[in-house]
Amino acid sequence: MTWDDIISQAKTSDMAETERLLMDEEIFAAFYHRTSRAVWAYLARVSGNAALADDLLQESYLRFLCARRLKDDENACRSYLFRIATNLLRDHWRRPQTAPLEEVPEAALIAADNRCSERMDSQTLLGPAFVRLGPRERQLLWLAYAEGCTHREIAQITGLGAASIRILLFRARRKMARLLRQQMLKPERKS
Amino acid sequence: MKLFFCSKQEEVMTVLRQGQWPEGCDQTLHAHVAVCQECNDLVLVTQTLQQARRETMQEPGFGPNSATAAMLWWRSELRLRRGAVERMTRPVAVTENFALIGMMIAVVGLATWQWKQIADWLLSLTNLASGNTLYLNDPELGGFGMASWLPMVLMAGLGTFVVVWGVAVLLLAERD
Repeated sequence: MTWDDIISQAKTSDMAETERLLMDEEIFAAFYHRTSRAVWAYLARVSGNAALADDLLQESYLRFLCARRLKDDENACRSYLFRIATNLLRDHWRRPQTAPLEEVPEAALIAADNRCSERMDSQTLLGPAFVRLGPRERQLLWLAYAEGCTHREIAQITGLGAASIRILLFRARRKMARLLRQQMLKPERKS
Repeated sequence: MKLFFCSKQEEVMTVLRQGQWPEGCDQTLHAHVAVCQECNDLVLVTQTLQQARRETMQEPGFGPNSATAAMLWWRSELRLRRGAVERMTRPVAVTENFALIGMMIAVVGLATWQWKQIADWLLSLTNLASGNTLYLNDPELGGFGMASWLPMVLMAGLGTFVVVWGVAVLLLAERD
């Protein structure tokens, strides 16, 4: 084998690698287009914070790409992406906050989150009822009824036991239905 | 809370997922939902959440607007490369740290083991300096003897060594 052969082989493998990367990037772009809004909606609704949802969405996709799972089938990729997003949300809630929420001026909160809660809440009944649920209840309800995930998928995404999902969902659903009915009965609403 | 799982729940859920509620399903299911608290809750919650999802997905003001797929791809490539470099250099850093710790242990051990000889040597140096035999007669030194400047030289040497050592450790720590 001569040096020319070695160089031409290296060039060929480089070209193949570049081609593969370009193809992967195209596949990812299509996958991102199909899934990003759903993941963002999940993050924004569960966290109640659009800016946080933006940040966590980017980090979710970065971790997804670094895990090299693009070759898996669409459902597995989607499920894995939601799992990353769920873990990031959990990490965010566990992280010690720099200031307690009570100490933050209300004006600052509105300015920081003027895109999400207020507008979304005014559009549907969901907002006021949803914020009164716990983070886990919000996750479970959104995954089950907004995303249409099965109990098994929810267990994979949240890391909870598959057997407990049904009971947890039952309780969360009943609580949310009660809150929604209370919301609907308020006379001052939706005049 | 009393747990109650209705047998019709799956059927109601399927109809809701397919978007066939309320028009696309039969009257018996309607009648059941009207009387079953469990299914009624299911319909209310699912419809509300589906509506919220539709609004969130369609609202132009919302959504992943700060990142594009290409940018994320590029950033992930950078992160992967950085990770690869870190993985490659980690054994070298670990070896350096081990060598540093080993050297420190050796110096401390040697000093402890040979402390008597070191103390004797230092004492002999001091005695030598304080003796008249090595007294420096250089007038520029202003009459300072070995006894006065040798400890200072030793201290300066030791100080320099400590500073260099500290900087080396700091650089290593920063790189890690």
